[in-house]
Amino acid sequence: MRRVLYIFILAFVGGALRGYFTLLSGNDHFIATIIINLVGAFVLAFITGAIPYLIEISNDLMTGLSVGLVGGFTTFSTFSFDSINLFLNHKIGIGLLYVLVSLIGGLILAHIGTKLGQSFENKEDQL
Amino acid sequence: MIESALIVGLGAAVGSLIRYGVTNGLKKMFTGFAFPVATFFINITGSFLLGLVNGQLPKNTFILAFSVAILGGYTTFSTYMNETVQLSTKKKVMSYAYYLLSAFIGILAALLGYMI
Repeated sequence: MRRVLYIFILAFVGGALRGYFTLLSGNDHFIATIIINLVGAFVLAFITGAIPYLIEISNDLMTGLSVGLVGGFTTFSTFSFDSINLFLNHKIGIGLLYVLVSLIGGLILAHIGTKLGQSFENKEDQL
Repeated sequence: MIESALIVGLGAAVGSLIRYGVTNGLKKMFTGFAFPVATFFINITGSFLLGLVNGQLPKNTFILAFSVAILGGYTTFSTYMNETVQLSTKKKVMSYAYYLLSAFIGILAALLGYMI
C-alpha cells in the first residue's frame, strides 16, 4: 500500500514537472519532450545504480522514484504521437530528427547513467 | 499554466499506477521471458490510445487533456531506454530488436489510432 502511495505522489510530481516544462516551451513543445525523455533516461539509470549505495532506502520508495517520479516524467506516447504529427504535417526532416535524437540520445544517456551508477557500486567493493 | 501542469501531474499519477499494475500482471504471465514484454505492450498500447483520443475526442476539452495526461504517465521512455541497455549486455540481438521494434511499432500504432 505504501508503494502505491509513493508511486502516485511521485508520479504526480514527475508529470507536473513535465507538464510545466512542456507548456513553458509553447509551440516548440517537442523540444521539451526530447529533453525530458533524454534527462529521464539518464536519471533512471543513474539513480537505480547509485542511490542504494548512497543512502539507505526502502524498496517501496525506490520503486516510487523509478516508476513514479522518472516514469511519470518521461513519456513514450507523446514521442510516437509527436512523430506522426510532424510527418503528417509534412515536416519530414524535423520528424526524422525528432525520432533519431530521441532514440540515439536516449540510448547514449541511459548507457552513461548506467556506467556512472555502477561506479558507486565498484567504490563500495573497494572499501 | 500551473493548473494545466497539475492536470498533467494527476493524469501521470493515475497512468503510472496503471502501468505498475499492468507490468506486474504481465511479468507474472511471462516469467522467464528475457524480452521486456510488459514495457513493450504498455508503450505500444499507450501510443495507439494517444492517437485514438487525439483523433476522436473534441479539441481543447478537459477530457482530452486528462486522457493525454494519463497516457503520458502510463507510457515510459526512461524504462524503455534502460531495458535496452540492460538487455544489450546479455542478449544483443534481442536488445536491438526491442529498441527498434518499440519505436517502429509505437509510431505505427499512434498513426493507426489516429486514422481510425
